[in-house]
Amino acid sequence: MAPRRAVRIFAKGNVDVRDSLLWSRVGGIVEWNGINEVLRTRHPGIVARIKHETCARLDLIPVPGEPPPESAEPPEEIARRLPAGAHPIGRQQRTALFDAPADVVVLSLQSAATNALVRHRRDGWLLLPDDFESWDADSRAYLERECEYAGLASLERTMARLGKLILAIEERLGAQVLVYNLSPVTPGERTHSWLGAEDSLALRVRRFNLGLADLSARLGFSIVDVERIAACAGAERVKVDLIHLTAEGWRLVAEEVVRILEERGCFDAEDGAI
Amino acid sequence: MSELFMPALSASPLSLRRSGLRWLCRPGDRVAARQPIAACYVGLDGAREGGLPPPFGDERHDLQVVLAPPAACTIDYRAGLSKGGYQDFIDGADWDEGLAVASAGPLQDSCELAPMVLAGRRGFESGEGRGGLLSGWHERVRGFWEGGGAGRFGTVLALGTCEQTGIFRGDDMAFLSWFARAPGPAQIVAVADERSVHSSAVILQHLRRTPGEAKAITETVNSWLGERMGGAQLESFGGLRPESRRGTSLGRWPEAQDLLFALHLMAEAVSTSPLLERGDLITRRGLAQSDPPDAIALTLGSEVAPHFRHRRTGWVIALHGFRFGSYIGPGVIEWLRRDFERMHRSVADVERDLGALADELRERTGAALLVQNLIASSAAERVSNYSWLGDAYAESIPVFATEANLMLTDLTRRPNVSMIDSDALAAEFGVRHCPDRFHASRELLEAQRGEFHRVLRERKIPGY
Repeated sequence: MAPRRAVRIFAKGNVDVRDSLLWSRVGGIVEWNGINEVLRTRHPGIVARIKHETCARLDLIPVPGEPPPESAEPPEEIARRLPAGAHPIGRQQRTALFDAPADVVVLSLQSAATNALVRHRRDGWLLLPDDFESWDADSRAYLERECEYAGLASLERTMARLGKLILAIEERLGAQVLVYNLSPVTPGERTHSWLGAEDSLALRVRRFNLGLADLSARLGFSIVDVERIAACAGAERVKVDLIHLTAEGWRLVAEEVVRILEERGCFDAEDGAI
Repeated sequence: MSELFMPALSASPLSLRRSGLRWLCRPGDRVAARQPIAACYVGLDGAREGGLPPPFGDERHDLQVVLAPPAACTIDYRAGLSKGGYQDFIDGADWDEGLAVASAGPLQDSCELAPMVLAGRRGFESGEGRGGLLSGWHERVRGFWEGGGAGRFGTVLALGTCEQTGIFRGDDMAFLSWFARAPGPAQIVAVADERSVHSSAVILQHLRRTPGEAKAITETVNSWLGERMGGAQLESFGGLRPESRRGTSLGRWPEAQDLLFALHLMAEAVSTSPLLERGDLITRRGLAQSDPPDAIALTLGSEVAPHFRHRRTGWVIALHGFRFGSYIGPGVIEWLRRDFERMHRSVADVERDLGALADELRERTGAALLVQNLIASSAAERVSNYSWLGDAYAESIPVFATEANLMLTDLTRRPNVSMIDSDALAAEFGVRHCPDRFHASRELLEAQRGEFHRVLRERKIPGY
């Protein structure tokens, strides 16, 4: 049997990129087995080797050649002391993205649209207090005493940073860049008037999706249009909440990733890693 | 078994007459509450004192009443109430309140049927189209029902495109789905978009139009009609030429369609704005009059129709692109090219016009705008890389629709603007329910109708 060619995918994101590309597990049961399920059928000679890294927030990913802002990262002692959750504090503003070659880099808007940070009152460093509700009392007290709410990312800053990051990926890795947008629809949730109200997360998602399309028009990277995928299949059927899809939904997203890679000629290479 | 009676309905001080009843379901059928079982045409007899014009104006030729049981039941009709033929089309007898019409099981008590009155203003009054409920072409139709409620009639005006025909008039084209769900007193008015599409630019200009501007429009149309008719040559009348003497496939004078279309455009533009028009009502106690609409349903779909501005008068019209050629003849197209300029409207232009319309309505009648957004996603259009669109990026449907929807969301921060999120509903059900973004399945239409109803109730529009 001929060895299968490997596509090296660096996936920087959270539940959306992980559950679609790697696996989706609900209650300990694997309900979707990732992009290789699709490749096995459509491109039997190819296997995806995926390195996954969580993403505290898109605008915290360091861009090579651009010095990080002073005091951007929490001190090591704080990073060790506070609970980690899915986003270890010491790694929230670091990435292995540029450490090894990759053929494809997958990013997602999710963290930028939905993750709110806190800022140290005196020193100004930022962190994502992941799974804050499960923190012990001392850690919660520390955070409430020392830090203040820094809010959600601004659309303009996110798109500016994302643009720089994509250019750096293309320049340094020569990789194809795919960015997931989000479906703003939560079944049963409808607002007809925003009088006196701030943007909801769903509305933010719509704005971010449009910003992403605009950036794609300028830079030429591909969008994995999760909004369209959910709309075509029916959000009632394939969505669980704003971010989570059903196994069928993740499968459709993985199929779209493969379709885009086909469109980009990623499976055309004759030998070795593409 | 209990009896269902003809309800109290009066046109006092005039008398109310009716045709024979036409049954809308079969004996033995199980019907839902407020599901019509019979309909008849009605007419008014007599004259008002003081030389007042007859009520209902042009609508008086097309008045119908549909009758429905107030609760679910199984129906059996009384014989002899349906005359058949033309006797069920013309009003030949007095309205007979209390007449037993049908028996209904298993209702405990005998009761009145619930009436809904339908009124239609035809595109051309001599163009009768009697038969079904609101059959034939009307430029404006409405349905109103008192129900069990008291107080004034809450009025909703639907000015959208075909997507709103489905929502408001429904499959039956006679508002039956609203009659079944809104307690009343309520009224729905629908104005067709077969002439000009009701974009914010068109209806705002109409709302602000002065008699002087209307006169300029009539002069413009008159001048063009004169040109068209004055320019006719002998060969223009092919159906009358000697070679047609023994038969011809030439039918209507080809020019007629262009002339009629221009006249209809003009007639709408120089008549009362539907945003201000009151309507006569037949109630239990006699004739009454409705207020101008409390809520106006629009759609962003109207904003994407091609717009044209008359160079000399500034008259703005919007026409569906699909009508050119097949519905709108070469004469009108030539007229548009010569005397009008195409308006390119950006999302910012739509925002300006919708905002101004909302402000002006708030000041004049207090009406709310309920605007359907655009369905941005479609199964047919998959764009994964927007750089491939080049210069077409900004005008691509997914981008324009998303921008327009976000603009509308921001507009709902005004007190009298609500958004009906058709985009979210289509995404929830799956866009296969609306593959071309405008023509929805029955299931999606019902969901959109439900959303309109929810918003009308939240806005406390009377009768809903």
